[in-house]
Amino acid sequence: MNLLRQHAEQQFAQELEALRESDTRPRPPNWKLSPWAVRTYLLGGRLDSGVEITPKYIGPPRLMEIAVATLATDRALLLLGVPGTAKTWVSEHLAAAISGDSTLLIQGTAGTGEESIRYGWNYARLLADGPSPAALVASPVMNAMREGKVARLEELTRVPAEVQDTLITILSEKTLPVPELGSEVQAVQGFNLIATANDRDRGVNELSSALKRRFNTVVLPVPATLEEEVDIVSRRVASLGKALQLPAEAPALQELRRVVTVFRELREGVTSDGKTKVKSPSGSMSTAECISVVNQGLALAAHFGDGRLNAQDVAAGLVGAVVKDPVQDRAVWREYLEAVVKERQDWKDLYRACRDSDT
Amino acid sequence: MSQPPIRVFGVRHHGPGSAASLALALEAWQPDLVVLEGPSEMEPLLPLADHPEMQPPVAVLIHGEGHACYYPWVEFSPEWVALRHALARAIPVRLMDLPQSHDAALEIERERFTDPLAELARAAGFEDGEAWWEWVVEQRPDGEVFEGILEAMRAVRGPAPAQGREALREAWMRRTLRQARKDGFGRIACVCGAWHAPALEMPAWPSVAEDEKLLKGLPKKKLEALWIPWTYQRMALESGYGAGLDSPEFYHLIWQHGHDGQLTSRWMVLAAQLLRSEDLSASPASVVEAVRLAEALAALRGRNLPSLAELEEAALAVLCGGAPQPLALVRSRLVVGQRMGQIPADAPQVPLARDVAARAKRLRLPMEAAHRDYELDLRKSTDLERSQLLHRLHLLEVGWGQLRQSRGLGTFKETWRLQWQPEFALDLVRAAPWGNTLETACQARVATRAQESSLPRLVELVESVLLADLSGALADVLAALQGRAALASDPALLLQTLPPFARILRYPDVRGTDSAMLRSLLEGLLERLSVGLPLAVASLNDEAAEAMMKHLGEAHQALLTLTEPAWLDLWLGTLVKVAEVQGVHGFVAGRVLWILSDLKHFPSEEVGLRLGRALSLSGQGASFVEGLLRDHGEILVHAPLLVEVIDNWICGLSEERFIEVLPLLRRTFSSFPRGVRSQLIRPRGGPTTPVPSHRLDPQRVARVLPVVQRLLGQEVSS
Repeated sequence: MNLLRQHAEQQFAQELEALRESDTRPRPPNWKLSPWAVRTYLLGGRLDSGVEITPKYIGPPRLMEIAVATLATDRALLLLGVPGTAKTWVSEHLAAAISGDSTLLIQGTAGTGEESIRYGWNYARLLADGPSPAALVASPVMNAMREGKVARLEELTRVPAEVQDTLITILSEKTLPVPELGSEVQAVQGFNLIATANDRDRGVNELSSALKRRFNTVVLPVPATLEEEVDIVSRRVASLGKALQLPAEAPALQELRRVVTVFRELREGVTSDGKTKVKSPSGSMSTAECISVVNQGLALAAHFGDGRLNAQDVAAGLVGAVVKDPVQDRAVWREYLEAVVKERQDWKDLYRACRDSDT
Repeated sequence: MSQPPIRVFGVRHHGPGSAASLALALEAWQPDLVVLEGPSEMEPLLPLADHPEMQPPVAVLIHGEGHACYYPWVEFSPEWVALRHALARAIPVRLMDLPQSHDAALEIERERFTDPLAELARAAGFEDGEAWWEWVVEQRPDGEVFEGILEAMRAVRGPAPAQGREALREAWMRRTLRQARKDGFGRIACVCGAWHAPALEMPAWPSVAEDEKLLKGLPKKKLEALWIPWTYQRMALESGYGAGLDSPEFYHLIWQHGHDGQLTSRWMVLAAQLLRSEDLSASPASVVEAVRLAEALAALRGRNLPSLAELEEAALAVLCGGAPQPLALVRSRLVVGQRMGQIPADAPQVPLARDVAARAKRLRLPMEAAHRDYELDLRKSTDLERSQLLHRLHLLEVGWGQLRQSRGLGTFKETWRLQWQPEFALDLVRAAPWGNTLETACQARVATRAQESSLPRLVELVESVLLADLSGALADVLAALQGRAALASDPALLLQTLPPFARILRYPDVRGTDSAMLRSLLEGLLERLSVGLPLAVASLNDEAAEAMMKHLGEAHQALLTLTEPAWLDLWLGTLVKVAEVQGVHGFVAGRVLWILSDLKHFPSEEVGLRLGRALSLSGQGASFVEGLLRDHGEILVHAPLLVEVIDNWICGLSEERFIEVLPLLRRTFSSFPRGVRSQLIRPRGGPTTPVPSHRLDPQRVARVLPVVQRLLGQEVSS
């Protein structure tokens, strides 16, 4: 099969199978693995059988432990973080490891309606036969409740507030009433929900406090070190470049490192040597944006330049990524340019390129 | 069966479980003497522990001859429990450790702390010794546990004899125990760190001669000991004299309630209550979930009870919604804690107080209850030192001296009024944890204040530091200043820092290096201003604009005093940008125009043009005039053109408008000095003071002229 992308449980089927075989510890009802094995699946390790489990999440192990323990206590899990902190990635792998199925997914958007979370109707049937179980179209959440699996809801804060609140009954009563049929779907043991949300731009809709109380929250941090982030960016850029069939060379490590440094410094509000503080712009300066700046620069280099990523190619994207608010952010950016970029001897070309593209 | 005359209780210092177990064991065994691990200097101080005003955390400070060390005691220290047990029953207490007077004089490196428990912990499948000890000893109070500890430590230490400083200490401990036996005690409870326990068991004792040989001819220093109040923050400080206890308040909770099986729930409820008291939501239902999560985490990590790590993580995920700020609050109140101890008022004095007293005496400044004024001439060394002493005390918030008249830096006279209040003694005791001498205490205090102060306060702090001659602390303050300036988003704040900055830079005592750093800092400030100020002047209300006008003027005057062309250029560039911003409040726009004219950037024609343009806009005219002219009427004298522009404007106002702007105009013109006012009025036809007619005597004039010329710096014409 020439699938563009495989589900986690397909891609890592062998690892999951190996874990299942060697897993002797108690499993919560309807879990495919014990919490300890889920932890190993996420954080990697070597099994007694000699099978190597690749780490799925690179970051503080305790966060994954909190996530697994949360799900083991039947509490819903909310993963918060700026774009590019692997929220979706973690939720997919958690669902794959716990339920063996990461496909019970609802993508939250401003247009997500109640029927995507509860149930909808097959209107032809509904008109022909009236309300009947056969006319009911179950949502991923309803299916998860019936089968005792983990459902996933992406970008929870983009869902309109009144639709979000339909989750309250599901999470606290663990039941989904269907008044039209005079029945209900009660959740089978093993059902749970993992939601993700972006905590920087807070989406369009804040979570209501009633809903917030029903989640345990784990904040996924941005990569801890420059090296870690450069690694993540270069891997992602390489894979994206392949997908888009860009003819350019792989980005020079030095240029990449400069872009990542700019992003980190503006995000953290202090230069990498810790000596100078800088203001942070209003945007999130996430790893994901950093990846797109490099990617855009690469495309520019490939189509309009000499195929090699240089300062001019990244400057335009860089300014665009930093300056989201034309007044405040521009001041922040200029201050950063003058106080930090200008002072660095080997950054002269970047300084000039940024100045040129900012006028 | 005969009882052994000595029982050794190996404990962990400040371990609440050890303390609880020890209380049980002492109650059961009923010793007739309690011997604690601690230098014998503390012995005379021990009875005070029973004083009703004594409230841990407290510490014994042993100091002298450049040496100082602290022995902190908290309510849950096993040693404190044993001490209180003995004092309550009138049982004598002795201290058996090597006296600090020897220890301090010995030039033996203190051993690197090795974790004796690590091996045992690994054997039991734990990651580190602390966690294992916590699990085995601290979580289950049991009077019988000490036998087990003894055995375990015997196994860990093996047959190898102690080395170096440790050998000396243990020999001294045995010497103390031998003496106690000789004195006729038959049930001696010996409380010591678990590590030492095997060496103190009687069957393991080496011969008297061996121990005495070790202890022969030890060097000695003269030291003093006294009680001082201590805090849980200090307990938790990793560096310095802290006990390396990360979570004193948490241990306090364990000590009080740790063994009723509800610790997890209790801690979580306390955390929720704390969050609610700060108006953060933390429902009882979520407390239940937090407890469940903590327990599930503990299970996932193979612990039978949640430790502090699991408690904090559960509180973060459930109660704090993943946000670190509320958790930081929980940590500071419920993990580290804010308890401060108290010592009886009649306890002996702290070294800081003694240091201050000694200095005051040397500088002949008596500590009197009546006030007395001192005029200090800072060119004399004694007076300079006096001034520094008083400024330093101010930094410690001890207000012994009040500076009578404010003075600019660089002048050499200071007038102080001194009056000693009894509370100052307490203030000094409170300041004691900062350091043992006035200088070190001030430096530590300044370093902390540098972390908390706002930008203008920081610049003032730099000033105080210079006045107090604390060059050691200057770097900290400057570093903080740099950080704070970089983050300041309000250019008005930056403007306010310029005048004190200028004062500091003009102060001649700043050493070369510091001055360079200050200069680069100021340059950074100016650069930030040039970016931020043009954005900040738009849309100010009357009040903010008036404040901004004032700050602009003061900043300008300050910069002028520094006579640094590069800075003035930067400043000029900034103001030119500001002058081009549209819709700026009249106060600000007028003041900027004045500064630009003062810097000779605009000739008077340009000023007149701009003034006319501003006046042609309805509404802002009067405030613009005020901004331009307030306190600077002389500009009108030099540029009659402006008088004309203003004159035309006023004459063109309607009657209502004129009545409206009159108060503002009056305020502006009344700020002019008398001379300027009369000069302005003269050509307008007002009353003039008659010029007295002089008849000059050419001969006498000729005699004065050379002197005048010389005064003016001109060549004397022959």
